[in-house]
Amino acid sequence: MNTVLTQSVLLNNTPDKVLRGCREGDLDCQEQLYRQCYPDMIKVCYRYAGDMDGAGIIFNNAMLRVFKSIKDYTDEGKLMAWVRAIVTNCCIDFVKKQTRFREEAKENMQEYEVSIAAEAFSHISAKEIREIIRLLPNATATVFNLFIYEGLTHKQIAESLGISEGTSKWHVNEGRKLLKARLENFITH
Amino acid sequence: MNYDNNHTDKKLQELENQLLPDLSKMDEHWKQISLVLEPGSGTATAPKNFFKRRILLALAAVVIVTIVSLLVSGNLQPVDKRHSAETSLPVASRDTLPHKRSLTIPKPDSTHDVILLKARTTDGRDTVLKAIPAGKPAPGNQRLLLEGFYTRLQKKPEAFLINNKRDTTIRGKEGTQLYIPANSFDAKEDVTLLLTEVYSVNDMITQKLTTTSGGRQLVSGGMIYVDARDKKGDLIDLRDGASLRLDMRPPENGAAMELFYGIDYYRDDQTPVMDSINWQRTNQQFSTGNQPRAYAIIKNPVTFNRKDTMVWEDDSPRYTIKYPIGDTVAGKRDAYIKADSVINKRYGVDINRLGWINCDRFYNEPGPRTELIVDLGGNADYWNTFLVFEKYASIMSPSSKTDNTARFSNVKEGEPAKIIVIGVKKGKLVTAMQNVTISRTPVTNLHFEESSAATFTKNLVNK
Repeated sequence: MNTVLTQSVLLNNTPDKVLRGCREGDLDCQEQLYRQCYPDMIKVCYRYAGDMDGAGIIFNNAMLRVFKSIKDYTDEGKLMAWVRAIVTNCCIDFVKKQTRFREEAKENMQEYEVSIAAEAFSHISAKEIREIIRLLPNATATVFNLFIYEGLTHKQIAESLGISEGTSKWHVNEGRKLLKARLENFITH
Repeated sequence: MNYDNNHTDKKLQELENQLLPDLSKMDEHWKQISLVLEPGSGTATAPKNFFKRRILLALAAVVIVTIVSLLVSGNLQPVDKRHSAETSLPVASRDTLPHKRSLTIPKPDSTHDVILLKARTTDGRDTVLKAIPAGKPAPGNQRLLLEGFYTRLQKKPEAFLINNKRDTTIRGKEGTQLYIPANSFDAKEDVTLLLTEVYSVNDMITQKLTTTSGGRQLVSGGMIYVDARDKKGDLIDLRDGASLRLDMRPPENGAAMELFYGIDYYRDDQTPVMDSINWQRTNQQFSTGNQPRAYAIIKNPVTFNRKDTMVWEDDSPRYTIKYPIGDTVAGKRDAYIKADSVINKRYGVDINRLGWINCDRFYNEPGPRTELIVDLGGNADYWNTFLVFEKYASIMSPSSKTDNTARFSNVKEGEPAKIIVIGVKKGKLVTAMQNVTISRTPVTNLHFEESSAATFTKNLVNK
């Protein structure tokens, strides 16, 4: 019964109407926005939580922030980007509670090239890649994900996690190095 | 061919985009958040109320601006009291008040009851940490009426003032013990720990604590809430990497329990939305046994003055002294605390987070499952409904609420339980308690009676 209701809401409401409804606290519109954002955002949350329960907690906390501050949202047409930014911040908050970020490098640390055989990617599925990254040390996996998938700069990562830019670069280098080693391991086995 | 960093990044992003999202839990996650979302003014009536409020607010604003401008220009003459009704500002009614999405607890003042959080130092001095309003309800605000009811039921936490530079053991009234190594907190000064112990089912009900993890039913061996505050009464965190040893009362049936952390949804003012607590599994087991479990380095001179004793010793040369449970303790040189036989009877685990902590196990008894439907006889938005199991400490909130019904899914048929409903009807707080045996037959005709925090507690004990 719930599904039927949801579908009818989805069909009947235009994006503007959904946005207006959310601003007025309309639960149906909030549900529509929630379900629209869910597929893309739950993937982001999963990267940092490592399981669906944790991902759900991050996403729900993010959506609570979205519903709370949607009245102040003015950048029409970029709603998804705005939601994504909030989700990313919630992911960072979640990880910071669980992971200790130590200073690993000096400020002048630079990214270095880690060349990976193209062939390595043909032997592995997207799911296996995600699993490899998930099994990196927590701090490294977090920085690596923020840099590669969320597109944050080292400066932004450093500010968000309270580390230096050098440490952020160190983690990305470390992530690439470990990824390469595990991918090559995949080829040989 | 080899990929450089840029190519690798693009390839990784490409592969990630190929991954399909896992939507299997979308409904469950939506249900969790929908319990937290306060319903707005409703699809049908929202625009009407919305515009009505705006018009009234605009009118009020015009009147205010007019009066201010008259005051500034000096044209406003003193008004004869007999005519004051004609010139007074419109009185704010429910319709003119802005709709509040989140609960705001009133600030304590002379018209509100206030709970004082006090800490007692080891030398017997009392110090007031923070005044918390007891939540006297505002007229007509159903949500606040309900929250005020719970605030009155809220257990007062015990407060312990500890020296962050020393290893400390604290013991709650109901038997919880916490071993706190020196410098566990990011604080230079004394730290106050607030501890609330919830071991009985009745306490769980009054504290609005349910026992589910991702929708799965849990059986609880007890819960605690612990937080730490600085001198100003503000929350402080454990230092990164710090862990405390927690001993709780062991479960009566000796079942193996695990550590769960409570994940709350928070309002903007950082107060938790308690009817949405979800317990997150850690895969850490509570352990028993006779081997020493609590060790901490002690660096400062020994001070103790109580009769309760525990044995502790250093590694070389071995010596034994006694120290008081519950006080800050310290040794002349580095040493290790060794848990004594009293402690060894307890049920322990290391924790690295504060907040809500639960000693739990999943309820995995075999048997047919069903959905229990409870007819509330009224709109379910302002009701809190709990399914309380009789044979073990387990409490569930509805998996879903629709119109006048609350539904509890995947519960074992034939289990004796109690339905407890707390809600607001015609501006009054009402409660209902009904014993049921879980079956497919919907529960109807709940008997509601007007209630207060005191009568509700009394009924819980008697029924």
